[in-house]
Amino acid sequence: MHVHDDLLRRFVDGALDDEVAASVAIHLDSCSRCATRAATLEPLALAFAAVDDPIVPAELPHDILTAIHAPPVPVIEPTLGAELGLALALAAAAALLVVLTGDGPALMVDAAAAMGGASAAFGALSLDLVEPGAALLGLSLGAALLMALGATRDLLGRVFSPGRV
Amino acid sequence: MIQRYTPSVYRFCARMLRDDEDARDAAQNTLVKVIRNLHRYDPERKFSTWVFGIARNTAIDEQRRRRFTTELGDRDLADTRSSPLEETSRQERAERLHEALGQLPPMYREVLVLYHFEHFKYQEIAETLELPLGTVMNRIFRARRRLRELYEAAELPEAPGVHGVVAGAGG
Repeated sequence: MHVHDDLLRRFVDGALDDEVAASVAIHLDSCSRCATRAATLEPLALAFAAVDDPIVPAELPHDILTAIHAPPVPVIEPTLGAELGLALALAAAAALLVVLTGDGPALMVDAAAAMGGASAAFGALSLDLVEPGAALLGLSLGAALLMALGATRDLLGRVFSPGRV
Repeated sequence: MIQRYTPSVYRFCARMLRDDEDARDAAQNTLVKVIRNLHRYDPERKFSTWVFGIARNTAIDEQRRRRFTTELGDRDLADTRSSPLEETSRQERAERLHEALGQLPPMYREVLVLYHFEHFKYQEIAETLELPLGTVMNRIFRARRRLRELYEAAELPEAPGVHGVVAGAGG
């Protein structure tokens, strides 16, 4: 049983829905006669046939064998200490932002600092510099520091500027 | 295995990346990955589709890493075995197709390269790309349609060799 000319033409033209096209494709995969007929219906068949194969570099197989036998490049695994250090650095950076911009409205400053810290943490995560656990720890520490700094700032504000609301 | 798969993997990478140096790197990386990950090969799957799946991913990585601009040289397309006039026409078709293929998005180019140049069966392409056959067929149809449009519209690059052959035949 072979594919009818009209169906084959519609197949080559891409005029069949996916399901019917898949059925025809399964038949063509196992029927060389229909596959050949389909190939001759392809408008660009001559153009495809005209294209020569790229020339394979003669030394490529040898180069591949050499590369296979070369020792693999060692992957530097970050240590727990390094990850914690980075997480603390992120938290410190967030805290520093608060200190440096402490004159603005407290809520905005804290939010900006938190966003900065979070961005840095997610950036580090996306670069695989830190493990998710270390990043979360860093963010938690950062949040705790922000809260502590906010409380200190409020306290200092009350002490040194009693008239300010 | 290296001897067997190097030519086809290189050809695939060359047609996908259109740069011989990038193709060389991608082919080498592909076969190194294949050898080093043989223990991950699922025998239920056809070996060539597994290899070309790796080749395809490696070519995509290579493409991302380096933005390619260099075209493969004329030496990859020219093969003078027929008469000069026939050759001109043949070479023109080849260059037109080469040009049109180069303008296709990689997702369309890869299915056409696997089918028309590497002679994969449709189901093998689906297995290589890890996609349902219906999706692959849809992609192939869209790719062919787009390729025909680009082929018709393709402006041929200046090919001094062609003019030289024709001029020589006429004189």
